[in-house]
Amino acid sequence: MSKENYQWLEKELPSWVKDGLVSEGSAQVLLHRYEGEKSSQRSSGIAFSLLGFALVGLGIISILAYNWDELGHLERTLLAVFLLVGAQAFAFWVKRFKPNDTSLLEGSGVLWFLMMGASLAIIGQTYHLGGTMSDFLSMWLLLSFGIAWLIPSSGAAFFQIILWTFVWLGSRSDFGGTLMPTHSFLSPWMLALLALSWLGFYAVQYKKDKSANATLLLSWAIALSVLVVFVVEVVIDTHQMQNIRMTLMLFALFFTIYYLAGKLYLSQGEKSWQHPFERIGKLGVLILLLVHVSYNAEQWFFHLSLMRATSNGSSLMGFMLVLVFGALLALFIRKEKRLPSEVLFCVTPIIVWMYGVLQNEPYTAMLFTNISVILGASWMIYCGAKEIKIGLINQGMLLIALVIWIHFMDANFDLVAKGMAFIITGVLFLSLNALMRRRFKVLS
Amino acid sequence: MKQIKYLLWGFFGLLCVVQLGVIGIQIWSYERILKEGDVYYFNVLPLDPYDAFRGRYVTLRFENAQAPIAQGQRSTKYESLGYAILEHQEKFDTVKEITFLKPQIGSFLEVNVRDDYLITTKKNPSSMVYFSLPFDRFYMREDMAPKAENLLRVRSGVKVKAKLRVLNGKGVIEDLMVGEIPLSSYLTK
Repeated sequence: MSKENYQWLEKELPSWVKDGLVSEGSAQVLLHRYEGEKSSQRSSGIAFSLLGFALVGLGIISILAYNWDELGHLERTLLAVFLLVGAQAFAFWVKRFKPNDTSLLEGSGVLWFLMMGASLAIIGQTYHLGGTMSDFLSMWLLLSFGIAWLIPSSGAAFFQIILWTFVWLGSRSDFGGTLMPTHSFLSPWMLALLALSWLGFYAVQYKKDKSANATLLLSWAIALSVLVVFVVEVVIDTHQMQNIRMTLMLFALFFTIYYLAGKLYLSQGEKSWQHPFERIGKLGVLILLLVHVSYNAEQWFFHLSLMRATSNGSSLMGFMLVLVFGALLALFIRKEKRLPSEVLFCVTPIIVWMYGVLQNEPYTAMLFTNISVILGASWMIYCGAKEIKIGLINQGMLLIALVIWIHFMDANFDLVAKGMAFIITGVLFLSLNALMRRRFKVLS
Repeated sequence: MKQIKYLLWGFFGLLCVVQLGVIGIQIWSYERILKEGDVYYFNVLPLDPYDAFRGRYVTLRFENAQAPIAQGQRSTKYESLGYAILEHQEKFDTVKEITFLKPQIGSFLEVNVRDDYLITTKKNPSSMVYFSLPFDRFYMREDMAPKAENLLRVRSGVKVKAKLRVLNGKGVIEDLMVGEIPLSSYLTK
């Protein structure tokens, strides 16, 4: 239950008791029932603590990056040790004497992590150490390993996941050269082990308190990190083959898996920002579907996918993703027990695959995708009207509007015609919305 | 439960010690080189980039980063670590030769030898190698580094030398010098 709903319940219960709707005891039971969820939602203090400590830590790093030449070697080295010992002592004090203060625990973890980096940076600038950014970040990652587990601090884990993502990108031969001049001294296996430790930490935090803001922050970090790693791996694996079909198929599977996993297991509240996996998955799937709607895009694919070779890596990855997708889809249908309102997002890999099968007949392929998207969007509108969900109706209408706009952009109409199309669909959108709101109001 | 708690505190202490140990060892080893190391001067060509964590620095490109392989030794394609034997010269100090066996005496510096940069001639294959020195940056105050680069860009005839301290194969840049004056002092003049 959200904080607002809990406050409403708290306010209403005395009048219910007075009217004899519930007994005093039942009212207390109800309040107690939702108190835990309310307290986990009430974590704005943690968010501010995290932000505060992160800003202080980053500020210290930034000030030290000025390279104060007034400070000699002794002062600089003392500063490096003092900052690290200070952060360690603060973390010790919080863990020992304030073990129940989540805000302080989170903040001390973040400060410790940042001060480890600050100390390494001071040593680096004091002795003009060579080496690359990747070396520096890898050393920081390695030395700060364990902070998140020991405190425990989701904020520290959040920063470590971001750091890990940069080090991983730097270690990939094809991307490393672009981001950082040389590779990390950490081997891929070591990086994979570190990633497993963050996943383990995330699983523990999720089980402990999935609706806490700190856990949500971790969810976003993991969702984005896995996305970045996947995109890079797929691009590295498929760019030499220039097999755009295979690449799009892998992305379709990945985003649908994100969407289904978000819907089934990784949802952390009622608000949309509390569903990182579902949001990222839905956005990816939407972009992929709309790309397939356009006739111009079809011609582009046709030119790019002349070489249809696939590597063993991408075939294996595709096979594994198909297995996961199949399993999640089956579980989702079993859970919903009916055709889901957003079925379009669930079957995107099948649409993308069919598009590839029909590639020799470009018009048929494009027609198939357009019909699938419009049918899926219409089903959303139907379900939205039935379940009185204005958001779902708007989503369906927006999809249809986007399909129409894409075809208008494809066509050789002049700017006036295109402008008129935008205005007409916009007015239709607003009128339908108003009509639906009015109808829902009457029904309720 | 109590044992797990003690174990966690043990790990907490261990992590603190490891972190401080790494920082401490770095400080101790570099301070030792600065105190006891031999001084060498190398000509450098500075450029001014930026590091988000450590601030502005001057990238150092060392002139003539190539040297002959020591007599009686051959480089194999897989060797990347070499030892540069240093020698004092009248104008500026240089690398006399590269050896792949760690010298027991004299001033030498661990360098990275690039196998794909072997300079071969028909007469004497793989006689020279390119190498990179283990230091490529000199951190300067935020407002100083661009000035340093500008000074060297305008072809003012100013030659900058890196003053290195070398001990047991490890080296640290002590300062950048213009003649006998540190570059930072030269810039503020």
